[in-house]
Amino acid sequence: MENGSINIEEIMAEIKQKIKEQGLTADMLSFEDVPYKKNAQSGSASEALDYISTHYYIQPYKELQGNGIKVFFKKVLRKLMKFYVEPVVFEQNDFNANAVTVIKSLTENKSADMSSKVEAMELAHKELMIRLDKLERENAELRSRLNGESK
Amino acid sequence: MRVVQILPTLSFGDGVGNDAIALKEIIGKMGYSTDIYAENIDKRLPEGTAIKADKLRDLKKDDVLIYHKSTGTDLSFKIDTYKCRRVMIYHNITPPDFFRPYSASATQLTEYGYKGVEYLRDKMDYVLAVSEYNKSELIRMGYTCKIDISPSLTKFEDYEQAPDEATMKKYRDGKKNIIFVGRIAPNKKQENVIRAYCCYRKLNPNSRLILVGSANGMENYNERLVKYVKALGLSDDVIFTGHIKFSEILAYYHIADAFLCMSEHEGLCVPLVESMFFGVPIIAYNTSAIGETLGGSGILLDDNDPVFTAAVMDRLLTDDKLRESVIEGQCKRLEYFSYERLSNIFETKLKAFIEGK
Repeated sequence: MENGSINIEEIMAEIKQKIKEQGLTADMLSFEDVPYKKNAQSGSASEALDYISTHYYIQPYKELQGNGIKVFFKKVLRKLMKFYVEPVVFEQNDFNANAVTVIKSLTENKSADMSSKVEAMELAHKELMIRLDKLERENAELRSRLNGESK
Repeated sequence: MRVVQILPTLSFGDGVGNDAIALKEIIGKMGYSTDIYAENIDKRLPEGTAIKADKLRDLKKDDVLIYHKSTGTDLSFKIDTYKCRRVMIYHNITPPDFFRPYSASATQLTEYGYKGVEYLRDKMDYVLAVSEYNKSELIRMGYTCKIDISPSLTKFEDYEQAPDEATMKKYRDGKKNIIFVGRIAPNKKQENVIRAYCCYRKLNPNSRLILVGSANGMENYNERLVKYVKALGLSDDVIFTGHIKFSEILAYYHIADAFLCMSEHEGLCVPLVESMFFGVPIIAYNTSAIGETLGGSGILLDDNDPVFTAAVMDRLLTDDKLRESVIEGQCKRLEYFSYERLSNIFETKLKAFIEGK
């Protein structure tokens, strides 16, 4: 690989030699150490939560289907059942609204927050350990050089 | 005689879609009756750009059907029902193993993509691969028909549009800007770009890394990258742009001091060509079609060691002579990808196939 008067291969070799001489290494946290959600599927819990958050309120009455006579009889039946259906549905709606609130607060609760904080701290800890190890090695090397000079 | 193209989805601003639209123009100029057929057509595209695939009928024996292959789709298994001459343009499919840890749907889609490529190996009359790397992949998969190389067309005039002013102003602050452009995807190995930057930052703290690209569909991988950046203490200096406007992408190329690519699988890698256009010196790890795309220009690394990559980056950004020489080499290479040249290649190859040469 030669660009004009510059020989890039020569430069690469020079850089590699310099790294070797200086004993430089990539002391850092490995990407493999970073946890991640494996293979999340669609239709996940968060999608279900979105669904119940928007659909928890149930209408007691649905649109009546059929021809005129059928609709008339259905309307009569609906009026007759009203005293029973309405309180049950409203009670169910109250329950659903509270249940959604609880589920939402559980998903957003401190434990999820804490676990991500712990995860971040663990990673930072690993990274610091790597740095400490590097510093200790450098320290030992400097000490041995100093000892050599003083003798 | 008709020469028509077919693909599963014709998207707005997408590489394969842009290629199909450009080819339609060329085929039309060659004097053939032509159209693009797609199962899904992006509504943002002008009316009449393409026709629904189910309307593709009455192809005669001498007509030519060009199938763009880049993903998993049922269409691959229907191509042989068209009783005409069949040509495939192979844009490449990312190996599913890259996606396996992060996305079941992307894994299945790419697996299905490879099944489609395998299915078509004895059903195509001619293949145009966008790179030599793609051609060799098809030969490995048992393709015996004639395969020629015809890289995807890039209209450089699109890059001459005005870049986003706000982005330019924000990042032209004296810091060295290292960029990588490409969707957030495990085959692109953004973690290795981050590792290299982490080492470079020790040499030059007055720098930043900008990862330009959407994380759509790769949220798990993106989240892991963000955590990695945070753990390395680089959150302030590594920027994930996410999905952005075209004018913003242009702005990032304008403010870039170097383009760092550590990708391990590319069928061509258009962002490298874009970097050449914007005069951004490239450092890239030599894998898949990367070396072929660079064609001797840029700086090609034989090792993805972050210390080595960082040292090369430092040298490139401090040695003006080297930098100028790299940019000069890239400018020369850009001529290979000129629209006129590539459209001539396509025209010649297609004409030869049609005339049975």
